[in-house]
Amino acid sequence: MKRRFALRTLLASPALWAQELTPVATDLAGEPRLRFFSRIEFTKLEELAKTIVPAVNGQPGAMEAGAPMFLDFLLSRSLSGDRRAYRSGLAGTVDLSELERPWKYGSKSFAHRLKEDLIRATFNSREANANRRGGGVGQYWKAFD
Amino acid sequence: MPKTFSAVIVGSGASGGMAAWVLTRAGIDCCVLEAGPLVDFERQRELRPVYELPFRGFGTPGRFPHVTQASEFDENLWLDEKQNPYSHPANDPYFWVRIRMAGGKMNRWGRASWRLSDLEFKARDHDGFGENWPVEYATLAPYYSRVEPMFKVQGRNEGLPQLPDGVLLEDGSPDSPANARFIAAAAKRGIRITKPRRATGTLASSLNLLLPDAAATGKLTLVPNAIAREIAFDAKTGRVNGIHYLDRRSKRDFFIGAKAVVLGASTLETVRLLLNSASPRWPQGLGNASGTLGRYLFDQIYVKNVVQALVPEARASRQGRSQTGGAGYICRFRNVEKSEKLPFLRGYTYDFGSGGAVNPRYIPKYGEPLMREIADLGSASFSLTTMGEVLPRYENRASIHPTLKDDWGIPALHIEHRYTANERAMAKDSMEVASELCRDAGFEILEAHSQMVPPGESIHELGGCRMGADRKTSMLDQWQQSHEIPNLFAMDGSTFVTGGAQNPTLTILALAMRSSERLAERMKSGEL
Repeated sequence: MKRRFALRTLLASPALWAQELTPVATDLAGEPRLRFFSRIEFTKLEELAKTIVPAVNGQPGAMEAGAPMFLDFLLSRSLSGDRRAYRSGLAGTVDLSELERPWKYGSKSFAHRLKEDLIRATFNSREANANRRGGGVGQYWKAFD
Repeated sequence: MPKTFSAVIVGSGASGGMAAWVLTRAGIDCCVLEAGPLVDFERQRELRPVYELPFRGFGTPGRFPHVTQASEFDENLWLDEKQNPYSHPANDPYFWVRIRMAGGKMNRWGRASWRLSDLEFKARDHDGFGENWPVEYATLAPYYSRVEPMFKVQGRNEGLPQLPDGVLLEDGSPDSPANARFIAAAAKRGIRITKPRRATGTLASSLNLLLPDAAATGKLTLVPNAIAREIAFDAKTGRVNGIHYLDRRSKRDFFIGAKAVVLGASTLETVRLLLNSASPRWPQGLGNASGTLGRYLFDQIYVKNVVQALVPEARASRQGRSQTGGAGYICRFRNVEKSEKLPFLRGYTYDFGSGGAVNPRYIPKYGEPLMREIADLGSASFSLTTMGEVLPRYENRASIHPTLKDDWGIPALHIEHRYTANERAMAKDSMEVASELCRDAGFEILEAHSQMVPPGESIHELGGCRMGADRKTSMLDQWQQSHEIPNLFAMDGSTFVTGGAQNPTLTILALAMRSSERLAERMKSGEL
């Protein structure tokens, strides 16, 4: 009887525990480690990030949003075509003047690709959303059983 | 539970749901086999901030190579491409976009609800290409008029022959100043614009508007997680007599008996099921005496953001936030008259909308100037998307792959669908016209292009099991009944002969209503 009671108490309790504990999100607790870029590539990426998406008017830029480190994680999980685009893009000189010319549909320009990725990684970051500029909240679909 | 039903319906979306709605209300006991789960939307979804998603909204890399519509929020909604593979020629991609759940793709449809006209039903009479439908507009009009109120379609009637009026909730909303300028620019060229025509109300799907009514009759047996594998054919009687299906989770094999079979599995799944139901009597696929099963596959071309413009007056720095807002639809204006001499057959329409932010990719700046421009263009966007008719061609087809199978061991499809010079010329014309209209309206064009998305991406795949007056060139008659097997019906998009540029769901619903009523009459009279 006692055992059954204890089991019932355990099953009924998670909500109570959750109220008493204040967990910290993994990305707030620790520092991510480089997984994809070399140190040289990453330094170059950070310079580009500062230049292309800077902080303006108190809104976080790519650096404040941790966008380069996020892209490192994303690319560590990406398909080979995407990984190659970044490797070869960062190996050469990134011509930023391309970004002052109109984007064309189907463009293969690495500079344009980098700009889009940096903006998305920045605007969808926790830091940008704290300032209410970010990608906001959406209806998340859980997996079917 | 009985093991034989008067009707077994495969699929619970627009066509399967409508068939169940009509047949059960006529007192006919129906079993609906749905390949996906029955989903409680409240339990299945929750609000999450984008930064809590593992990939910040970029999506899980490589998960959906063919579903551009999938976002990281709804990745679990779309059919898994690894579990459910298909193939296409290496250089001719086909984007097959699928959802499996009770209610089908209607759970996520765009709700645009246009009628087809005799420009589509009698297309051959108009320009000599392809075939006419075995029904004309006047035949289907009464059914459109019943479906529109069920789905609370809102819009504005224009009295145009190419876009028949409907039974609509009147959209009397005013146009924003930017849209009004655009509409005036189009009117100068004789191009008519109307309000979007959309189903309204919560969900507006088979799941909440058709299946509950069917269930209330006590005549509906809904079986989720039942993946149809093969239609059983009795060579002695020349009729079908049931469906073999597999449980989605256990993969266990079952059989259910049917006096009539109605396919509403979606265009390509219906074709696949018929091809996979080949037998010594029907070696090319069930009921395929004409050799047309899987052929004359088509969809609609989409040129997404054919023109992306900005409305200068709507810049925040000009206090222009009230200048933009709202959407519209440009009615077909090409080849409406037989006398037009254009480098392509048929025609196209556009959806357009103003307001909202201009995507930063279109802003030719970086650094601080880019950040300031993004803020200034927060509601200055104006863009159009082209939707155009695709000619049904014999060469465009779905067939069974010789070796590829899905996770349930069911042979998969190989889909060959190429656009031709006709579609390319249409796309180019649509870019030129849209550019002219934007310039006339005083908008600044940021980008214009004529590159169509790959076949399939519009999610308006049609044909493959088409209707026709001639049994030598079609699979089904005007009642969506097999020419060869009297108790076999298909009622989804696979049955279309042409598709126009209009979103097809309203026509699927109207056709399924008409054919199901006829089926009910024949079942009750004992004819079937």
